[in-house]
Amino acid sequence: MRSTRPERFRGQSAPLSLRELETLFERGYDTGSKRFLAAVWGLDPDHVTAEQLSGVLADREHLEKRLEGVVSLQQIALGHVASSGGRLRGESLRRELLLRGFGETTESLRDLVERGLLVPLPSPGESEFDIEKLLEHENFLQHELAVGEAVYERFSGFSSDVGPEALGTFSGAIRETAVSSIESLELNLLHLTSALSKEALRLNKSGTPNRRSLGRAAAGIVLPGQSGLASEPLDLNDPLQLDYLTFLLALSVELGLVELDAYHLVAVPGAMEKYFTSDELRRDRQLLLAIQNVKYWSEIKSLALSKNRSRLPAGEQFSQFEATGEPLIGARGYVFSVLKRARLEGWTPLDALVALCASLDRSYLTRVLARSHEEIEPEDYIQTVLRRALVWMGFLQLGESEDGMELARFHARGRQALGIASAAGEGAESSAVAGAGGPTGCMIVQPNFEIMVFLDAAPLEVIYFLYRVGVRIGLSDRMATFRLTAESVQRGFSQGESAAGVRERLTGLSHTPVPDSVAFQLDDWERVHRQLQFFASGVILRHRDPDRLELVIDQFEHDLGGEGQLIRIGPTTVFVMTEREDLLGRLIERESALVVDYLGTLPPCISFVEPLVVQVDSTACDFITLSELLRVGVELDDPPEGCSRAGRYFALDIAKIRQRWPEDSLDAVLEFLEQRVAGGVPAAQALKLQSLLDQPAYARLRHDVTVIVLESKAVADRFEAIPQCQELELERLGDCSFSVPSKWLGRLKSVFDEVGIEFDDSDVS
Amino acid sequence: MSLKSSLVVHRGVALVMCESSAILEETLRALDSSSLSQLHMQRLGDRALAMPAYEVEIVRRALEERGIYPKIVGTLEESSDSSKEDDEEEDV
Repeated sequence: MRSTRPERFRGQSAPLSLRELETLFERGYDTGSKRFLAAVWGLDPDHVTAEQLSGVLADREHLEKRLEGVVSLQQIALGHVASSGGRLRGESLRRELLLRGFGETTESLRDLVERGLLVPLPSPGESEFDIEKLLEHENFLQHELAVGEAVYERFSGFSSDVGPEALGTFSGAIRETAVSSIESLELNLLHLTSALSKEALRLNKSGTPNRRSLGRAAAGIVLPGQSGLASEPLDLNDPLQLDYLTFLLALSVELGLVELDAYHLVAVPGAMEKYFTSDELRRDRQLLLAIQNVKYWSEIKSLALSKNRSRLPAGEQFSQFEATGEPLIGARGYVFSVLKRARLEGWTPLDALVALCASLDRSYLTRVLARSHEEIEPEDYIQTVLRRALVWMGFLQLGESEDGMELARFHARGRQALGIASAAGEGAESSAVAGAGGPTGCMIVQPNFEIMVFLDAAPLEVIYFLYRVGVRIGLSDRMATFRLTAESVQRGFSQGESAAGVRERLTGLSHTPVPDSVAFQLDDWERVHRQLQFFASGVILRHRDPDRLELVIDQFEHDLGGEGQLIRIGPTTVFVMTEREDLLGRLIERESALVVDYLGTLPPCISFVEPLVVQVDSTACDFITLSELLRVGVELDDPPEGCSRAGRYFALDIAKIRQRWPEDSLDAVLEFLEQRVAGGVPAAQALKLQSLLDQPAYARLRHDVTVIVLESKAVADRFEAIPQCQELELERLGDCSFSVPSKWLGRLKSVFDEVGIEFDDSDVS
Repeated sequence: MSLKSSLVVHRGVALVMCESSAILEETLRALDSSSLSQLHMQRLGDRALAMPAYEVEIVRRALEERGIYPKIVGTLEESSDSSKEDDEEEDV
């Protein structure tokens, strides 16, 4: 017995045996502790022995009596210790209960220690263990708490997965108060972004969506609280509806499905395809990241908005320029990180969930909230994340028990998104439902071009495909109806679909064969679609000599070796699409070609051949200049006399110039021409244009005058200031010269003599 | 003006190719709107339209607004769409 030291109790995964208890009370606990326990357990404190104390703990017969008054939560705590092998660090036990949604349990655990049902073990090397002090300072949670063999046996069948529902604190049927799901959210995201891919959302200067534009984009969105039925039309005066749309837009931006382009939000087709066709697990992760980092929507303002039901004070909440949610990224991330560690099963009191998030690292949450400049208590903030962000994401479901307790539980995909441990099985199961046997038969293609799709059976990528080629015309709880139209199918073709591909896909997905009428129409729409092709970017090669062009093109085609597409537009024009810039560069060099680069400075191409008649080279002139000349002039059918037939000729038309540039017409047309005429606009042409567009330049002819040229401007200035000159009808001509009527020549000479100006009048007759 | 070389290379050009001249006429009619008056399309032959590549996205959008969805070859260049009319007034 003497060799037994308190250290031996630590690290063992077994309940305390009678012998260990005796040793503990004999050597580990101090006298005060033993007296304290004796008093609590109804023994004589003055004469209590270690055997008596350990006997109480080991007594199986009277255990039930000792358990009287032990509440369900405490029994669950004992069960957790038992399922952990009979002992568990106090803080770990508290945390475990917290993560399972039982809320703060320190007091309950203290009570179990006082009842002797949980026995704190001394730390290594510690003797004279003072349990009163331990309880007083709440240090008992820093120690291992063990149960005796009797308690261990009593709770050995306990399931560690039990949740707060076992407490019986809520009862009866649970009514769902907030209906949402990730599936519904994704359907909304798909619906909204598809609408934005057809028409960008216009924003006001404040960044808030233009009402009419938003009304069109958001028609058909399922609002929170609606069970799968699309709300149509939306009431954009309702702040909650507007806020939900803001939330969807902000989430779409964060997911990269939509991007800001000046005063428009536009869809990003590539990102849409990537997101909506990826697997559920990946999408869930992306959704989690997006809501954690969402910037253009704030859960705090959102919840305040629905409480106040007042839109005016929260204008910034609806703006796509105001990053109202950005300061909350840290706080939001904290709440999510706590929830990721939670081990919640089934319904949990909402307050317990709040307590869990508020307790785990409260100081950090307080700090990040302070940095966000939001004046909000941690508990209140957590409520906003739970009630708004998580519910709208479809991660969390809210409910109420018959006795009025507010409850929450995670959806299977919410658990999957958050990576909650035990959810993996459920998540896989939920994915397997849709994946079982593939989505075959998830829709019916009807001869009237309508497709009924069963949402529960159709993976998101199938619905995305239908959005690409169809228009959603109806939505109910479990079914959506799409219609194939010429417009929608051709839009799909423009995004890379093909008639054969669409037909094959529908055949694979449809419960019934694709009707012949639909298959035929798809082919016909494709035929029409191919009638118009856009080649996004390339080069046009032009040469006046068709034979020479043919030689050049043959060589170039050979050089390309199939790495490009050549389209012969006419005998002197070929369009080429190729990535081989090097070959193109070589061609330009070899042929000493003139390059007209539409992203650079365009080479001059206009020359004046007659007053207000210009000529351009039909192959070398750029399209911008040609278009503008057609707007400001009239093309001549025949070249002016003496001009080559090779060019194109335009007579500038004053009325058309004024129509093209209603303000500052002269300046505008001169600027246009200056950039395009080698050496600038000829002076005579500029004067002519001025005379027609502005006002004619004015000239005054004078006879019988004599011109005085003085030696410098200074002399001219002094001369002009002489009072006698005022009568000479002088007219200044530049810095040094004046004209004077010849009749005053005599007087002028007198003035010269008077002021001492020497002059030479040999030229004056 | 005279050219040093007879080969001219227009770079950064988009091409709209129609199956027939009738389709081209139809397309031009669809594009005949004041909102597109600033664009610089040029007709080349009976079936083709050429324009600076940065303007083609505006043309595509305009056609799509009229229910015409052309087949796109290559990646369209983004455009600031300065010619697009703001048909909706600012909310007050």
